[in-house]
Amino acid sequence: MLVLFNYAYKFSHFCKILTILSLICSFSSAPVGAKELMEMSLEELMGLKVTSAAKAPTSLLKTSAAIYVITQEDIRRSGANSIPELLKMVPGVNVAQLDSNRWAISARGFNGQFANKLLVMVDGRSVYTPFFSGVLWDVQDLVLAEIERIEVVRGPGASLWGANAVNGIINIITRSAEETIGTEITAWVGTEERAGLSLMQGAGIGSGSYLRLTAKGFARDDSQLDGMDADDDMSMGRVGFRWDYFGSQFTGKATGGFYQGQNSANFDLVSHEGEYHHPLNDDTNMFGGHLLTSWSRQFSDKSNLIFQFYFDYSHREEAVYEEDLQVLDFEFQHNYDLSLGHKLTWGGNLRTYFDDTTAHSHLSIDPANDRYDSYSFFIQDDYPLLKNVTLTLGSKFEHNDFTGWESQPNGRLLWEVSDSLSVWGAVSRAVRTPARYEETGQIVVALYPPGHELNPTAIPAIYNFRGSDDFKAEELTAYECGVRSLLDKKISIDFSIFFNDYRKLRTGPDPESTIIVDEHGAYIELVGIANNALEGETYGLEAALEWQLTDDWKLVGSYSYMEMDFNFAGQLEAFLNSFYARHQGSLQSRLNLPYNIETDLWLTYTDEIVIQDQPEIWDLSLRIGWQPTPQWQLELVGQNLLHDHKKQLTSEIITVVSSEIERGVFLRGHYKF
Amino acid sequence: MLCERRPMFLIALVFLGFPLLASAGDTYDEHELKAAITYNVVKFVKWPEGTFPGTKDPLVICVMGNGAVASGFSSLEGLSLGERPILVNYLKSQDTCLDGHVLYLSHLKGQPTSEVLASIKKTPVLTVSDIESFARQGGMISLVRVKNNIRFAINLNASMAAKLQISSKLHSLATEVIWGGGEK
Repeated sequence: MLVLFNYAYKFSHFCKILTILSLICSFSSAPVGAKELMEMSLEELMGLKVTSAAKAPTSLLKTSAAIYVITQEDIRRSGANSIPELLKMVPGVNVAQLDSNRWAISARGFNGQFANKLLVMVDGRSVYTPFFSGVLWDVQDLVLAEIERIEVVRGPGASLWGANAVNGIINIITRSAEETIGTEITAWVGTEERAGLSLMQGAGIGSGSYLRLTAKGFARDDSQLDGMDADDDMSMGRVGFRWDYFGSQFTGKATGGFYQGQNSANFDLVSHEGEYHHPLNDDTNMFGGHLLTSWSRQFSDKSNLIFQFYFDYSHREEAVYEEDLQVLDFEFQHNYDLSLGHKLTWGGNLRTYFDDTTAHSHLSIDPANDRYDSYSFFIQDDYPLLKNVTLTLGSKFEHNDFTGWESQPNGRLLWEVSDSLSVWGAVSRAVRTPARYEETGQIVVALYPPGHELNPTAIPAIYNFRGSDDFKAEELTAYECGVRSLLDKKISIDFSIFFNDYRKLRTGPDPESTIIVDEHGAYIELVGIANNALEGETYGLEAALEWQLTDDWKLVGSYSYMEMDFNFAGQLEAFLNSFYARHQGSLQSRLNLPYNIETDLWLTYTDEIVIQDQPEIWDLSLRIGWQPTPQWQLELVGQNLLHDHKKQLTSEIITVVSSEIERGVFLRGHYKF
Repeated sequence: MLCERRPMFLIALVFLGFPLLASAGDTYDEHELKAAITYNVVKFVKWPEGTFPGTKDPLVICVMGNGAVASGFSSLEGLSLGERPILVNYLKSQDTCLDGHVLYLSHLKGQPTSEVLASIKKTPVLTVSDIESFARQGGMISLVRVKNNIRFAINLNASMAAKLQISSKLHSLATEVIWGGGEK
């Protein structure tokens, strides 16, 4: 009791001191007039500190969508060493690491290793894989210093970006080569991020012409499985370039890259033989590359035309399948300012996929070679209805080989109440077109041993999902609105709510069952054929805050909440569609100390995922940065600090085994010259 | 459970303890400070003979940037260098800095830096900017933010091509001086 009293006394004393201190501070920081500033010498001026403002959301204030922008500063101060880690700061985006090289990332629910409602673009190139309509995150990497920003839009963006931009779009934008002249070397060594080196070299190579070359190689350590090394380490090397040209008539850019890597992953090749579970650790080999070029011409103040072409090639070889994929994509866009304030944007896109897929195990695909095309055009008009109110109407019309024509309209309203406050609302429709395996493939999803609540028989049952020609596109109608505000230069807030109405979602209930007998025994083969019978609603809210408390201390936070309202036909259907965290939060504290030292804390929270029995996860990253000279920077980063090792998510299919992510510490140095 | 709790307590402590650590101190509007530095840098620059026919002819500073930049530079209005008054000329993105002596660029939208620099190439205009690696792109004075302070880099190749003389006193204050084939 005495101790408690003592604490209470000390606390009140502490508060008093705090109040006095803050009073002193508020008096002493009375600003000096501009005239006085002009009378100072250059040396004096260089010793003065500038006021840090919250991230000026000037362009965000003109955006009628739930957008979050990860800036270079966010990247640097997060301590992240890969793109997926960065996305944890975005409200409404769920990021779970399955093992040392596989991630599950989605926005507004429906996460999973094969999450299929999120579109990811790198400099205008789609990195979405048409095989399962998802993203292979292990090969999506860049030298972090070459990223200009990552724009994350929650909610549909299909009327501009096309099919599959259903629950969100992640747009990774690299810096112009003009901005990265010089050399930057980064190297790291650590326990999980075992070692790595990246180089970035930029130079002017002629009149208005700039080139950047990059190279990166790294190794990542194993995660943990059943108390042992999971043997899922990864190594990857990549080279890339970006060329920018600023001519009097045209501006152009070209990017290219090549990567090669290897990782290992754990599988469970379930069967009716023996104990049903047959663990396998197998190597995944991958390589790929791309070339992209884009040209833009400004005809006048009012008219601008952009052409873009890219080729992307990837090869992946893993335990269950092997795939070669080539993508050719061509698009153009014309921006034109009409009279009466109408801003018209229209364009078209043509894309062809060539794929060669060999299924090895627990998967079948027919035919092995396939080619599929899509072509689309879109038109959008921004019209100032009133002085500060802009109405955006537009639609994309897209043809694909699986379901024919799809239209994806949207209407958006933006009210710029003042320079520091805007309100927006949107109604939009988006579709997810079938992935290749949903048309012509079959995959093992689950195994129910005898005695399982879904298997009353005495022999095991293996559930297969089979694609179908009749499978249609999944549909979403989304209703969203939000507020964005810059309060007194120091605090910016962003708040949005959404209601998503899903129709024709993929499912495969009422499986056909066949009893199969072979030399190993008998089992029931359950085959659920893809159909579009699932429908339901999700709703939620997302909030983001950036608060510059003092010139040296900033808080960046986000929170999201969502609910699903679905009537699932069965346990499996519920399992496959309910990977979402009801509550999710992130809070970063970025503090500058004397001697150019930065200390950054990042706390994240993900609610339990009920359907998986996945408990809630609190986690913490810590970064200490020191910049002794403008050229040198050293960082010590700790990640996943609150657990020795922790499982973050289970894959939706039984053959993929996820492991436990370990606490990691690494030391990273940067040298610029 | 206990070991899960303890870090949370530590985190709370660190978050709460931060305001004390975070020292306040005087701070200034970024663009106003940059304007003041630009004004001071100009004192160390000599324009070619004949640039100013009269001793009371104004020195014209063209400013290309958004509203915040403009309001920072508005504090230079009415100032003078000796007898020479300073005029601040705010440009729109497509304008060129005709009859100007200093061009300050910031937050350019839709117009590449190289294009702006090309438009005044070899004319005696001192180019100053806070655009990243501006001096390496052919600009003369790059304002660099190092933590919360503003520093600058000089590209002598660019200033010499424009026949401007930058006093060597300024070299010693710069974080980087680009000269000849490399750094000085």
